[in-house]
Amino acid sequence: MVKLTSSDGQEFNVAEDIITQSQLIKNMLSDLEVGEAAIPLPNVTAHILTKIIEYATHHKDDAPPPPEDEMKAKSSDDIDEWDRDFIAVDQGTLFEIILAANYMDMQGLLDLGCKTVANMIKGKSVEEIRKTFNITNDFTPEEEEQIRKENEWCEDR
Amino acid sequence: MLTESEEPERKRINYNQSPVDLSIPLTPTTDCPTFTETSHFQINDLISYYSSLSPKHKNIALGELLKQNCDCSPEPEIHNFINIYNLLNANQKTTALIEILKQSSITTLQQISCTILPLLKCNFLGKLPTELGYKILEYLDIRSIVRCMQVCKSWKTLIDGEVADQAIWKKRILLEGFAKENQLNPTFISDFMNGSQSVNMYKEFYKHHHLTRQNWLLGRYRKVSFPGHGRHVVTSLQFDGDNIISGSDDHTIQIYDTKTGLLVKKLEGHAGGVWALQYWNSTLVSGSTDRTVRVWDMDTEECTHVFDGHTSTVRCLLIITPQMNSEGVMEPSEPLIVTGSRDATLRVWRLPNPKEDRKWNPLTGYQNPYFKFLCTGHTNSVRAIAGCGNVLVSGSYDTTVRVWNLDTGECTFTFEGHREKVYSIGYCHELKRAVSGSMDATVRVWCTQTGVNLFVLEGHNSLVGLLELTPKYLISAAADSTLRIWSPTTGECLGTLTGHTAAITCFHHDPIPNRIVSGSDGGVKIWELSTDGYGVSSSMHNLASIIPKSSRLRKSLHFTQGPNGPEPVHGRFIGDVVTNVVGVWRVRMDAYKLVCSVQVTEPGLEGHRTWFEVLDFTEHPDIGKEIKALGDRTSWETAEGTPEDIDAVDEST
Repeated sequence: MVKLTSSDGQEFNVAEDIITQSQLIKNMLSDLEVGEAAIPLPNVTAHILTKIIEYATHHKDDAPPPPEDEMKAKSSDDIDEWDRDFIAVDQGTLFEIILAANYMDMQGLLDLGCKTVANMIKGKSVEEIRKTFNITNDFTPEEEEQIRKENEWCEDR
Repeated sequence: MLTESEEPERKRINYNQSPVDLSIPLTPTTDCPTFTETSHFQINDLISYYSSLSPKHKNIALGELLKQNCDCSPEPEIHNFINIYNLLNANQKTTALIEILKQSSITTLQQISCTILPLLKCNFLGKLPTELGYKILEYLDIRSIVRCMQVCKSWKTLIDGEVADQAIWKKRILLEGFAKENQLNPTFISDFMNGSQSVNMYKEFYKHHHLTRQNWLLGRYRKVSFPGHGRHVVTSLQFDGDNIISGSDDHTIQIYDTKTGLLVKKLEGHAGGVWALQYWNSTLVSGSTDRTVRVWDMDTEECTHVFDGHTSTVRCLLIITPQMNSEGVMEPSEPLIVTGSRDATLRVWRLPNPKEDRKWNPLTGYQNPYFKFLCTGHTNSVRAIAGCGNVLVSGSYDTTVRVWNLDTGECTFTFEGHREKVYSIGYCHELKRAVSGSMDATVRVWCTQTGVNLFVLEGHNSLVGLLELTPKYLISAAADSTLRIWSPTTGECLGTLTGHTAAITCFHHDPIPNRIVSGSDGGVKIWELSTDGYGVSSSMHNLASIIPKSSRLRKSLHFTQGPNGPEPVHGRFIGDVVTNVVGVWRVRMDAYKLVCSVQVTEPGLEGHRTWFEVLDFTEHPDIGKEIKALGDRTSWETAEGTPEDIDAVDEST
């Protein structure tokens, strides 16, 4: 068992074969004499760490992901049902999960988070994207018109 | 910072004495990680205070809490409530809020939901570290990326800057096959953009190629057409951005300017029809019914070498240039010419450098220093050859296919199986596979390493005269007026291209731009190789941002249902590009242009004439324009049928 402490002071006990899906923890365990001491995760709250452990527990028997191929086309259409339910969280939590997965170096979860955000953007109009993420349009009308013109080439013809 | 024991008495507030004495400064405490009995009381206190509020105040109070906007309420009850709430630590606040929500009416909860949802939204691309922003964008289709750029300033900066140009746009160019990694340097791009500098050069390059690809899909081009070779057959055709080189049974090889359609050079010397040619850099090699092989310097138009030896027509030839094998050795060790002849033999020659090497013709001496091997074994005409590295595959009218080692000149395998003459051959070095097409209407796939006949592909119902093989696709074209796309690794027929009404006379396929062009009596058609072939994931979104709305491809299925989910569709018809011609001799294409040699009837003239059509799909303001050029005529002398705007030959020079 590995002991972890979240940023808000909660302690978690996780089986080593589960939590070592995090490369960060894996490296810490192999590099450092951790012993009985809890590993502090100053960037991850208990709420997020709970989610991360849930994800790692479900995926503990997965084959290790193939090394990332820079030149391979990426698809966000391949999210399985369990993952989709798991990641159906509010945007704030999703944001924290992406940051935590990046910090803890968990490739599968990071991909899942990024794919989910991409799927929220795909196929939407500019205004729909702003609405989806509650973003204020900070362009002046003139700027906006110019940018629209510059990018017309990509619209359907 | 206060410790637990030092917490002042001020946290105990008597709510019965309303309004609360606010003279004591109330600062929120947030550094209290554990629940204490004291704090628990406070939660209950807050809740009972909340219960005492009027329904209207309850709503306002909750709304204010959720907005964490504590100073703007004029109502003292609410002000107090907020102040008490702010005394709680973060965990207590959460517990208190949940308790309050549990006591709230549905109407209140619905109102709250409208307040909460926007608060939970998150400006991902604006707030995440840049590299994670790029990671999200990698999953998006191009139209969505471009729309993101228009959302707000921070998103625009992420996608449109100098760093993004490399991180997003350069990668996209490589992924969609618009250029190769080793080409993509600033000099190449800036040359391409005619020297104009921009922080977004890769984006501009991408845009140009994206629009050009859309022009292909929409059949939009500038056309230059011109006559050449009189009434003769064009037997071979090769081109680049500068020159179109054609070989004809009129004994000549002609070189035209690709842009203007003007004849620039005419290579004369063969005493018979030219039936095969290929050029590499400025060295051109041709084979003829006069039984010779000739090597030409394309810059000086000089024929520097004449090789004899074949005792009948040279029917096919191939220049094989050295390439590194897996052990780091160059194969073949020097550039070679391989020729196949109706005399049933193949000959292997060293490729001369016309500018430096000693000239040669049969009168020079008896021992041709460029001759390497005579390959014998076939018992009838060698009709087609293909090869790479040290492997050469030949197909013959004797119905066999032979594999030759170009290092030793030995025959390594003889493939028997076809019941009729072999007309076409393909070879893929990566797969170590050869393919052969025959008059027996089958295509056979052979392993050149083990000598095994892997597949017999049945489907065509007459002569398979043309084949092309690349690692993912085998394309066959037959006299039954169809083309077929096969998987060379599984032997599965992926698609049948129907629409031509006569035998296919020529075709060319290229998996990178994902296209097939084919010619038959009547015209040239363009086809999409695969819905999975645009180099990016074949999601509906990606296809929707690549295939224009007005393309006919939008009306057909992008996928079919396979046993394990959606499968790509192969060989969708894109459009007719050359019509109203009698026949099509040859077609070739690159990323930007399609060059066809066709047989037409010219008004006022009897019989058929040979014309060239150069279709340039590059995005250009003049797109749609058609120009008739001079070709190999010095002027348009015939009174009838004179093309109208021959002086509008070229605008680009």
